[in-house]
Amino acid sequence: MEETAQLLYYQAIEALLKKDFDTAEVFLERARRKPGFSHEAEIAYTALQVRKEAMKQKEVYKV
Amino acid sequence: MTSRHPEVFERLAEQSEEFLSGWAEKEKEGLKTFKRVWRLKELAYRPIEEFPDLALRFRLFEEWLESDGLELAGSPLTRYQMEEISAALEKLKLFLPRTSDSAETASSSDQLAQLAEKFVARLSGAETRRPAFFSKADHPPAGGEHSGDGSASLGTSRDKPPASSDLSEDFQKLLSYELEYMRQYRRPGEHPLSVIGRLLDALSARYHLADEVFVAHLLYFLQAQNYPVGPYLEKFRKIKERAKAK
Repeated sequence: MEETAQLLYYQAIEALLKKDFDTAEVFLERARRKPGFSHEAEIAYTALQVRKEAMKQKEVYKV
Repeated sequence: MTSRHPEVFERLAEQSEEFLSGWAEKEKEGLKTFKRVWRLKELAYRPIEEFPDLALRFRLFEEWLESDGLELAGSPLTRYQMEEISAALEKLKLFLPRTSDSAETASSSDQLAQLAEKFVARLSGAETRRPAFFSKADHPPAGGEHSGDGSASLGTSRDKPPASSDLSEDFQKLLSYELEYMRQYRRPGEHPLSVIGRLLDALSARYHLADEVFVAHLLYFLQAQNYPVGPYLEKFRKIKERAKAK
């Protein structure tokens, strides 16, 4: 069946429930390229971006 | 600059994770509903070449009705989910005559149609528990939900918003529904005439004031652009007449 933005969003939710943030990001990244990418998905995606950037900066300033 | 401390970023990352975990928890019910609808869609849309065993397909559908279907019938569904379920059921009903014409298959087809009707009746029951004309929206906003018993009706009090509601506000909600539908649920490159076709199918399966207004808007717009909308208009009239007669 067709891979829709909704399917990818819920796959991301499943990953988030397992605390697998990186996989969730991969799903939402793919969902963003599909029609019907929802407002909810955009919020979750933004939060994942914030997390990723924070992790990156943490490593930068650790050095 | 304080933000250069790694612990600040660590805290931010943790807070983001907390937010995301909370978000996922909040979406758990939505995920369950999505999976239930998805399983039905798989049964309905999986090509015969991939899944030729029709008896197994029916048995799985029967099992779906007794498990997922039962759960769905007791849950609040968005108008869009109702539309997806109706379309999948219609597809299942049409499946057999297209693929085989044996007596055995015809009998299974009848059985399947009965099962589908049974399920629609259950869904109607679920809809009676839905609170308002403009109930809480998911995707897209349920601009035209029935307030009443889930049966199709037109021009009766069941289709009207509560007396206290503001008509202008209701109309704006209908317009928002149309806008969101076109933005999110129109397939890429899909012509508005195809959208009308889908909406008419949905209206035939289940009457919604929001869809009626939506079809009327699209038809008027396309007619003004000199598109041949005659057959669609005719079908629309027939569906409306049927709904009025109920």
